[in-house]
Amino acid sequence: MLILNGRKIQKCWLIMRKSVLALSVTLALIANTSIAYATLKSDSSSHSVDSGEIRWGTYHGSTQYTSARDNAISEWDALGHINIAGDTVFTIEDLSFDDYNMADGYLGWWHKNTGADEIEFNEVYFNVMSDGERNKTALHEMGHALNLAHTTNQFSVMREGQISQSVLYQYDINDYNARWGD
Amino acid sequence: MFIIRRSLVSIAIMILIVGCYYYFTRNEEQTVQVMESHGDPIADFSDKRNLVGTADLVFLGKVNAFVGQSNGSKPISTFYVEVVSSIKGTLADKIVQVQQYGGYTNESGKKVFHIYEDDPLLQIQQMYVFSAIQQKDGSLLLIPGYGSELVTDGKENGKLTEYRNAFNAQIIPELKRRSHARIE
Repeated sequence: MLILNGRKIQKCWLIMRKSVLALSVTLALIANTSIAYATLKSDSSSHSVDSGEIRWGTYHGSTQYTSARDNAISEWDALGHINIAGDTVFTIEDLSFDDYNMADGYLGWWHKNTGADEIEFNEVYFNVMSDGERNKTALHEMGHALNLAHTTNQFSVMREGQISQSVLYQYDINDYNARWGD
Repeated sequence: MFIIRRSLVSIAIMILIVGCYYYFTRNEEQTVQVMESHGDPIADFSDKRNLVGTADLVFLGKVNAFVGQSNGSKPISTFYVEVVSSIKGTLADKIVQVQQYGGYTNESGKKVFHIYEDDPLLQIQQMYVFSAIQQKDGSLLLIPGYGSELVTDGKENGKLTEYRNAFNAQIIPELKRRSHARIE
């Protein structure tokens, strides 16, 4: 009996050692493969909304095109799902508005940052644009801050280019509701 | 036999320990946070006539080297490009420097990659059709999102034809005209 048990024990030990060996090699291979793979994590929250609101301020500076900025804020805020309001001492700034000067072919930008995000208006073109054209760009960039993408729809502020538009039409309202509505 | 087995187990365990060490210490460094920028162009650049009309220089070229990157929160990357064929404008040199919005920053100890209009940085040794705007200081800035169209091997002639046709029918956006008139 004792001899039989001894053989069984020896067999079990052999199996265990082989399993440990196989497991070790497998885990080592997995770990070393992970080293070679550099992960590129895309920021899934590509917008400026934080806890149902966008608090805007002057972290990155200020814009001279306050009329266009205020029109965009007013139009999008009126839709209701996302509160767009000025930053206070009790809130964290989510978005700044400022200007830049570069002939890059773009009227403005929305930038996602690790801190406050940013909407920039390009002086190169803004200085020769009408009020309606500036309003459209400001609405467009705020649309990006609200996670809306470009479109070719002729009634949308998210279409690209020099266009005069100061209000949101139903297409944008529907898009906004689809993204942020209940 | 017993010694060999023991040695193999020891080696495997050592590899495991070393691998785990690198996994937990290096993996953090290699995770890059991507920050996107999206803009409003002066015209619809998916229509190449608008793109070529906006650009001051359009040319086929091969990326030779990465020169460097500007400092600051909005990195601009610079590359050496060897000009293969000119489509619009005149370039004085065979090798030119082009600038592209985008690059890496270090923010709060984390590596961040800034990308404009989903436009990846130029790859060395690759061929592109470049559409660039000349800045006041003479530098060439690629139009974001559209200013570097990758050309795969054998497709150069087709791309040249496409862009030459666009050049012949180019549309100069009104805002480019207005902004140039103001500078003059």
